[in-house]
Amino acid sequence: MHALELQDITVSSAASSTPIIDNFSLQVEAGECVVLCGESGCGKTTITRVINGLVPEFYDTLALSGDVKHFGNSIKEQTISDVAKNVGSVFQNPKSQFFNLDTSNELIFGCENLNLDREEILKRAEQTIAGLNLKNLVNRNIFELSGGEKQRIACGSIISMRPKILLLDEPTANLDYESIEILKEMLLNLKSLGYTIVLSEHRLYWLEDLADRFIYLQSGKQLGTYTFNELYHKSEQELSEMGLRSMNVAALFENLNWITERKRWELCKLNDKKNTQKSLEITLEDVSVAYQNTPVFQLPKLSFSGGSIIGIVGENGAGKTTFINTLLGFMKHQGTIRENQTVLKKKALNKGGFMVMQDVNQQLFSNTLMNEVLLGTDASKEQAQELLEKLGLASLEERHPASLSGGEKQRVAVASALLSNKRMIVFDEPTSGLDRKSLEQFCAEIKELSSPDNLIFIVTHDIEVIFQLVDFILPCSKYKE
Amino acid sequence: MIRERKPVLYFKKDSFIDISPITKIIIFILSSIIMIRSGSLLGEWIVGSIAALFLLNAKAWGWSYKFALLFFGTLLLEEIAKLTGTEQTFSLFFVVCNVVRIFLPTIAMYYILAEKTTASEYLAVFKKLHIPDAFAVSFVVMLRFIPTLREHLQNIRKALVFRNIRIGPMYFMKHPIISIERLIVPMLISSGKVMEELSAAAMTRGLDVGRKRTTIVKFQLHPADFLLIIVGILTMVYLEGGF
Repeated sequence: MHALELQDITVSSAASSTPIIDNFSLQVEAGECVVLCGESGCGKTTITRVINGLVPEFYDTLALSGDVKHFGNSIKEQTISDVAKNVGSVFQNPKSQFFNLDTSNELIFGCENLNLDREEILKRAEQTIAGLNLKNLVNRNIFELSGGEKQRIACGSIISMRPKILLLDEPTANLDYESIEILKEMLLNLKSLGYTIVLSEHRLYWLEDLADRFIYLQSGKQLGTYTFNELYHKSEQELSEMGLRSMNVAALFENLNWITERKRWELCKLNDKKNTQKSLEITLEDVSVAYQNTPVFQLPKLSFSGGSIIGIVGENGAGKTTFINTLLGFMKHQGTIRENQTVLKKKALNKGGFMVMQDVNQQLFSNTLMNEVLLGTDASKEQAQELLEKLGLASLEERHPASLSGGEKQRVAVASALLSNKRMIVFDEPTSGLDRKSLEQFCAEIKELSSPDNLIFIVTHDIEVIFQLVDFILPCSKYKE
Repeated sequence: MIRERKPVLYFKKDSFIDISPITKIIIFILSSIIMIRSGSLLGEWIVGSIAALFLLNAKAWGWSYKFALLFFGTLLLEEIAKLTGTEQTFSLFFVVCNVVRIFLPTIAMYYILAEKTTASEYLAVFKKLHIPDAFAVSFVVMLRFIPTLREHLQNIRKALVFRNIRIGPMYFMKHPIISIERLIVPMLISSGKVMEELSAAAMTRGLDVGRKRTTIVKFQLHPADFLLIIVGILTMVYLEGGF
């Protein structure tokens, strides 16, 4: 008997004639770890939703044919909450999968739903905390945890329910390198305890030793099965054609560590970019920021010249966000920030800067794309049209911004920044959850935008973006006396 | 050998005396009514003291300090002005103080309900009172959603600053409809996605309407609860009676 069996799964939606998943079958043995991979839209997330029963019960616009069996039992007669006893699901976004404000209640939330005894719940919680090493996360406010810590609590809450199959949908999309390592440790541990694990992922490099098989999907069809080594030995060219992200990033990490070694809050050069005309220079002199009387950083001197793309890196809590907020005029700071010779105060910084947020939906305000890019600028309609043309958005002028795709929304935000003549443009984690193609496209677009009149800052955990795009790295680190 | 201590899980917020959510809700309602309707000095002192005690009990030090300073400080100032006969000179100031003071206990009690009471406590009360799941579940999700909304609102206001729009109190008074539109539209779109993901996650954790569910926190009323409710009701009856 297989732990998990998918038989001739086809998922289709009324909106399109081609099915999202086309005749997909899969057998997973108990204790095995299987990874679903492929570019965005290949159907890997949909398959995870078929496995936990969300398709078709929750996403009811989709039609499902074929059968799913967990340990021989078909899920056809079960509700999603019945399936939950066997299959534990961890989702991509750490922010939207918890229901309590504190970790302790969250860890037992699933058990409460299973209507277990009080004593049993407490026993299980204790075992989960010991087993997954969550001791320093109990009794904490969830909103104050980092993405990685939230993801571990989500796993903990699931493990307390004692499912037999663990299903993770892009669990690392929002995590930094260290959090991924910790998550990997945890999953290795669970695998050795006999859990069956199914993952869908873009980033594949961290799955060494963990994954037994990689199922490669394209447009809802299964095109091949690989082991880690088989993928690892493919050339970058081959991986790029398959739409898969780099397998060998260890060298990149080493390189990054070498470049930033012992350097903190100093610019590290990555690319030799010839910059002849110097029309813009932002200089920070003796800038220091404290948060609730604890210093976050103290910078003797830091200067950025126009046309550079700067990657801001560092672990959670290193002060990346505080640094960006200072540059954009949202933090009280000591010292001076200068643009060429002019000293910029908070309001001037607000005016000269722009941030493309992680959730772009939060910065789209108007009913059409044209109105959107013109909001708050003095630019003319002709200028706007010219820019939209350049960004490949010309045909979408009259569309509602909310109806665009994620990448298009990002470009709309950039367009409004350029039209209002912003000098500092900050991207906050722009590539979380992107596949290879979108990532490469993003890098190309940003390079195109970079000009001697602007500075582009990219706050990122993504090692591939750093080496493809960035000219300088600013390594941030927690302040130490 | 040093034995490692097992972590103790707290399912309630840290406080000196355990007060049931139902008592908090009753006091929240009573104190709001008393503050809006009575205008009596005695009423203000009682309600203010109860709210301050709640904050202290919940170990919300910063809040207790600010609340006590603002509430009792302005009350004292008013008394001093009455004694020295300078009441008329500062009348406008005292009118503003009065308006602020009316809402202070309500805000303080709301804070206690939203941030110092856990979802488990509410679920235990709802179960005891046989309130339907459909309400209980949505209530708990709403409670969890408040900090998310606050976060979104902060981001949206920031995004507006980049577009040279600052929605402060003055802007809001001048252009109320535009302000609401600028804040609400992005809020709805970004929250909608979170809501969908949250509901999907809830179902895969076995949360379902009409299913039996354990509550880890037991519902209990202590003498302190009865005392608070009685004081609240007596104050209300006394002041409304117009003695």
